[in-house]
Amino acid sequence: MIKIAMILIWILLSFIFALFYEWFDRKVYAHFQNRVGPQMAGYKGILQPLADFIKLLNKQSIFPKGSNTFLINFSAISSVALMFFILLFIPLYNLNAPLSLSGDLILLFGIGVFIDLLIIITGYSVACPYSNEGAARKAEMIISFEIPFGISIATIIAISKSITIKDSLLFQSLGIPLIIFMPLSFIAYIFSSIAKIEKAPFDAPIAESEIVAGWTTEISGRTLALFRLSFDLDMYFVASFGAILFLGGPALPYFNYPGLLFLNQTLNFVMFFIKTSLIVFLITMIRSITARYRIDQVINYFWKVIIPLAMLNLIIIIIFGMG
Amino acid sequence: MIIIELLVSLFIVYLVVLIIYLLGSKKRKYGDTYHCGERLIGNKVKYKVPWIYFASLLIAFDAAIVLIAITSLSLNIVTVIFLALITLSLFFIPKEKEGENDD
Repeated sequence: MIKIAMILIWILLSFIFALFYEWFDRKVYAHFQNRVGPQMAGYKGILQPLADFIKLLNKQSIFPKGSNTFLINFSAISSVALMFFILLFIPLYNLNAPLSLSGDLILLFGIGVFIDLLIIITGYSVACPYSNEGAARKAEMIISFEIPFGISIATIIAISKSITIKDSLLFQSLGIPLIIFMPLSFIAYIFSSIAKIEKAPFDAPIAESEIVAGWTTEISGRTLALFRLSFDLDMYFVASFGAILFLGGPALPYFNYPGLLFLNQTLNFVMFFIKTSLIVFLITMIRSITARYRIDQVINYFWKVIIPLAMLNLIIIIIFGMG
Repeated sequence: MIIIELLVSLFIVYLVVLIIYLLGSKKRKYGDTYHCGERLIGNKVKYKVPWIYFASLLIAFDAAIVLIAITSLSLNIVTVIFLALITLSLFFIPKEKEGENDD
């Protein structure tokens, strides 16, 4: 019963964090462009993502004739549900999350790929050339960014000698964040994350000036609301996952004073929040100062720059580990 | 035990999302494809042959990740040779002709 309550609390927290980081991203992006950004709903517009979500949820869904609406709705529900599911593995205030198992690093990576495949299924289920083109671009992107993303995770596995999130946190709670050993992997992780969440300069699948809105062109109403929520959850996931794997998450510095449980957990949570926000800020900064790459440029960039960088770091770690 | 825990968690998250989805508007309409002012027909995009090489390499790298994951406790020379080989394979990606990849 306590476990179910924890899962529900985690889902609620993930929802709040996802919407908060959407607001944060929009606000920072606006300031980089000398704009104000959201400001109407709530303090400084902090409730704008929630208002947008509720509005979209209550709008009529319009699909083009010949579309497979079952697959589209299934993909929307599944992508959000699976995002919530993988966020249950993210510890927020200590070393434990509601779910943890041996091999969770690989499991999270695998589910991440599956969520991306759901997007391709959606794009191809809509009878619209823009959606099809968006899905094709997404497929081409996946074969580029999933590899450095996976290699970064593999480097963490190689260094912490474990395939669980908890062990990598335990390793870092000794006082050294993994980013010190693997700066190149961190760079690869950040760029792969930007491509994963389809932000500039890797937003070719939803490039508005080329293919209207890419694979989301013909998605509307509550289905679009869920897909947009899935985007936000994805951004929160890559940021929190990066904060945990490279910066120590809530375990660096690990506050564990005896008899001060609440204070310890609050301080650990604050550390986690600061690190996650830093990664979101970094992603937003990169997307603010760069222009969109063409899809062939994205593939070239990942295969010729990012993958060799990630591989180099992995090989260095393996050689040192063997020595 | 852990499998049951995972399945229950999966069931709960699906249930929560389904409730959110059902709270939304049930109005649905089928219309024409968005044309952007032009007459376009919804057709499938053709894949290009060089992508198959990339897809093959993707599988090779994914296999490498699993290999590293399994041998994480005792990384050996086989892993290093495998990684070196697939890194070498990057140099053999066929080059595209000029204009072949223009969207």
